Amino acid sequence: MKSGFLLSQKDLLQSVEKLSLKGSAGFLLGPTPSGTMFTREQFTEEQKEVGKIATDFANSKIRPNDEKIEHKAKEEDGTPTIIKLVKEAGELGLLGIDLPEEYGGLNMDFTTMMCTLENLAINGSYAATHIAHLGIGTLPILFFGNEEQKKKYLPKLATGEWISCYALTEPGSGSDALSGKTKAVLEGDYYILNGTKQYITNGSWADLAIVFARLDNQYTGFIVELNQPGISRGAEEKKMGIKGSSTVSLIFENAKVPKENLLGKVGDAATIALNILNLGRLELGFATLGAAKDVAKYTIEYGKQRKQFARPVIEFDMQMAKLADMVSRIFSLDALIYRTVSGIDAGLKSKGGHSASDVDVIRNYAIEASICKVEGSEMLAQVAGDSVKMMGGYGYCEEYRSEKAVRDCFINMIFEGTNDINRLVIFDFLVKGIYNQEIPFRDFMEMVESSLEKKNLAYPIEDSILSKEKHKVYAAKCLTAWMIQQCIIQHGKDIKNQQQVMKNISDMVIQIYAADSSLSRAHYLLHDKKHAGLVSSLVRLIVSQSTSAIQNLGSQVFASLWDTPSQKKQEEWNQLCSWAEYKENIFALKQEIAKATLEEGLFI
Amino acid sequence: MKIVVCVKRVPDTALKVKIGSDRKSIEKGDVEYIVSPYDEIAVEHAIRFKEKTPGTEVVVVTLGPADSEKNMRTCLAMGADRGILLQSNADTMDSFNVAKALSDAISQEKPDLVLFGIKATDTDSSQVGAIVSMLLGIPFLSTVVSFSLENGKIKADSEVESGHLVLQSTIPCALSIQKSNVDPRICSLINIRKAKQKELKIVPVDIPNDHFEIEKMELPAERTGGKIVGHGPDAVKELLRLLHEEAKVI
Repeated sequence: MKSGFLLSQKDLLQSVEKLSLKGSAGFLLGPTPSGTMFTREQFTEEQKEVGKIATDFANSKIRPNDEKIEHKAKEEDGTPTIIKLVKEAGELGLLGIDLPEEYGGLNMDFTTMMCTLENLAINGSYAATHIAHLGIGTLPILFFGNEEQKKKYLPKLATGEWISCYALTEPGSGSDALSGKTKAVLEGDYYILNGTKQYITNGSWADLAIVFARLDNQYTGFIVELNQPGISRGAEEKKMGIKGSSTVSLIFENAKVPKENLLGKVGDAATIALNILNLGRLELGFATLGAAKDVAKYTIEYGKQRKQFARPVIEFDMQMAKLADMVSRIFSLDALIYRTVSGIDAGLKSKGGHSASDVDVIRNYAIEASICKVEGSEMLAQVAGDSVKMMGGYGYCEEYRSEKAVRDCFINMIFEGTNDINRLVIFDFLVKGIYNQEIPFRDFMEMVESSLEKKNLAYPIEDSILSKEKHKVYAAKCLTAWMIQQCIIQHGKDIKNQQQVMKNISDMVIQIYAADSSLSRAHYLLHDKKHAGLVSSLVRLIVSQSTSAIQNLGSQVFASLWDTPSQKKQEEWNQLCSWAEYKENIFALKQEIAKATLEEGLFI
Repeated sequence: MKIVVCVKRVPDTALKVKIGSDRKSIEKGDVEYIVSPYDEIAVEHAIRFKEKTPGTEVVVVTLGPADSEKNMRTCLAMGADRGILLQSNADTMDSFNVAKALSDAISQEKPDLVLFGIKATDTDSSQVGAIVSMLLGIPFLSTVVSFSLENGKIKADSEVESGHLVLQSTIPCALSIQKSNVDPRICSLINIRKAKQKELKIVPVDIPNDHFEIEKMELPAERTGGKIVGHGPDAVKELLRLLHEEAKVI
C-alpha cells in the first residue's frame, strides 16, 4: 500500500479531475468535483439560438408532415417528403454545424450540433434519416478523408445537395461487424467492389456511401458514389417502426470506385468504423432524449384532459409515479449526455481539430458513448411504453402518437450496435483501461481496501450541497470498483465467456454515470437556487434508485463468484453495501416530482 | 422604398406566466423574451416585399432594455437591413408615451411604409400603431393580411369580422398586420452569423410614465368543469333556465 493515505487520495482526486475530461470511465474512480461538468444550463447564447432553429424547424416543418413521412409520401417533383425536409434543414445550415467553414460548414462544436439532434428528434424516421446522413454518413470523411476528398464531398453533404449513408452491415455480418465479405480488388485506376451490404439507412435515396470492403484481406473503407453502373438497391425492408426512413440493401456487382476514393489507409476499417460508431451512438442518445421529452409532453397533455372518476387521469397516484419516472430518467440522460459530448469537444479543441490523428479523443469516450446509447434507448422505451399505458385504449391506437413512439423506439436498442454489444463494449474497454493503466484503478482500489480495513469511508471533498447523496454515490463507485476487481481475480481471461457477469457490471457502471451526472447537474441548479424543491426530489429519487439497483446487480454477481464466499469477502461486501445504502420515501418523492412537473413543465 | 417595422419583445408565449409578489407585474426570473409573434409576421411581410421589390430597405425599430438586442438580431437574421434600439428600462403599458418615442425615431427615417403587428402578445392593447400613425400624420390601415404596391399606392387586404376589405392608400402610410397564412421564416445559421455584423443603432430614450399605472395583475380564474344538464330536446328548457338564472348571460 502507498504510504501517506491522505496524500495519495489528493493525488487520486487530481488525476480523477483530469480524467473526468478524458473519458475512459474516469468518473468511476472518485467523486466528480463540482463545476467540472457541462450541463445544458450553461448553453451559450449561440447554442440556444441554434437549438431554437432546430426546434422551430421540427415544429413547423417536421411535425405537420408526420403522416406523409410515415407513408413515404413524395412531393410533386417525385422527391420523398422526408428528403425534401432534410434538404431544407441543409439550407438552414443544420447539416453542417460541426463541419469546418472551408468545407461549407459553420465550424461549431459537437455539443451545438447534437443539441439540434435532440430538438429535431420528434419524428423517429426523420431523426434516423438526418443522423445517418450527417453522422455516420459524413463524419468518416471529416475525420479520415484527405484534403481532396473533404473538398469534393463535404460541401455537398453540408447543404444536403447530396445525401449520404454508411454501409457496414452484411447479411452474415451484423454484431460481428468487421467480418464482412464484400471484396475490393484494385484494377488499374479503380477498385472493383463485389458484395452486399444490408440494413442501410438512407440506402434508397443516398448519393454517397461509406462502404467497407476486404482489400487483400484487409478490411478497408471507401467513399462510393452510388449513382453508377454496378450498384443496385434492394427493396425496402418492411419494418416494425421508423417506417418513413429508408432501409435497403446495397448490392455491388463489379462496381468501379476510383482509386482516389480509398478512405484512410488500407486496413483502416476497424479504426474508422468503430470510432465513428462512438459518435453515432452519442448522436442516437441525443435523439432518444428529444423523442422522450416529446412523448412525455404529449402524455401530460393527454393526461390533463382525459378525465375518469371526474378527475384528470394524470392526477392519479400511479400515473404520477410513471410521470416522475419519465422525468427523472430524462433529467439524468440529459445530464450524462451533455457531459459526454462536451468532454469530447474539450478533447478535440485541445488537439486542434478533426482528423485521423484526433480520433483517440473519440476512442477514449467509447464507454461513455455506449452508455449514452444504452441508457438513452432504454429510457425512451420505458417512456414510450408508459405513455401508451397511461393513455389506455387511446394510446394503443394509431391516431395517437404514443403508438408510433413505441414502434419507432425499438430500433434504438438494435442499430449502432445492439445494446447487448454495447454492454460488452463498456466492460471490454473498462477492463482494457485497467490492464493498460489508462485509469488509476489500482490506486483507487488501494484506497477502497484501506477504507475497508479501517471500516471508514471518508468523502474526499468538502461540500455543502447534496453532501449525503454525493457520499452515497461515491460509496457505490467503491462498491462497483471492488466488484470489478473480484471478477477479474476470479475469472481471469475466462471473463470473456461470462457475459451475464459483464452485463451486470456494465449496468452498474451505467447507473453510476447516470447518478453521478445527475448529482453534478443538480449541484449547479441548487447552487444557482433554481427550482430547488423539484431538483432536490429528482436527485434523491435518482440516487435512491441507482444505489439500490447497483447493490442488486452487484449481489447477483457476488452470488455467482463464490459458492461459499470467505468471511472476509462477505464482510467487505456487506460493508460496501451499507456505505452505499440510501433509502428514501420514493413514493413521496415521485408525488412531488410529478406535481412540480405538472405545474412547471420543467426538464422535459 | 423604405419600410420601418416596429417590433416589441414579449415573454415567450410558451411560458406559463406567474404573477410577481407585487401583484402588479409578472415574475421575471427565468423569462425568455421573443419578438412578439404578430410583429414577427410584420417583419416577414416586409422581407417578402423587399425580395419582390429591389431597392427596398427594411429597418426594424424597437423600444426596450439593452438585452432587446438579441430580439433585434433575430429580425436582422430574417433579412432586415438594419435596426434601431430605443433603449429604455421603462416597464410601461403607457401606449402614448411609447408611441411618442417611436414616432420621433421613425420620423427621422422618413419611411414610405410603417408596419406593426396587430398587437403585442403581452399587453394585447393594439394602440401603439394607431397612435404612431396619428403622431406621424399618416393614414393607418388596420388588420392587414396582405399588401402590394400598385401605381405608387399601397393596396391592402384587410380582414374584418364579416369578410375582407380591399383598401388603397397613398404613401407614406402605416399598416397593422394580422395573422394570415404568412408564417415567419426560420432563420438560417449563416444568416444569424451575418446578422451579428449588421448595423444596430442604440439610442437611449426617456419614457415618462405619467398617465397611468397598473394597480393589480391577476391570472384568469381557473376553469371549472362543465355541467351536462340532460340530453336531447328535453334538456333545452333547463339549459335556458340555467343560462338565464345562474350564468345570467341571456
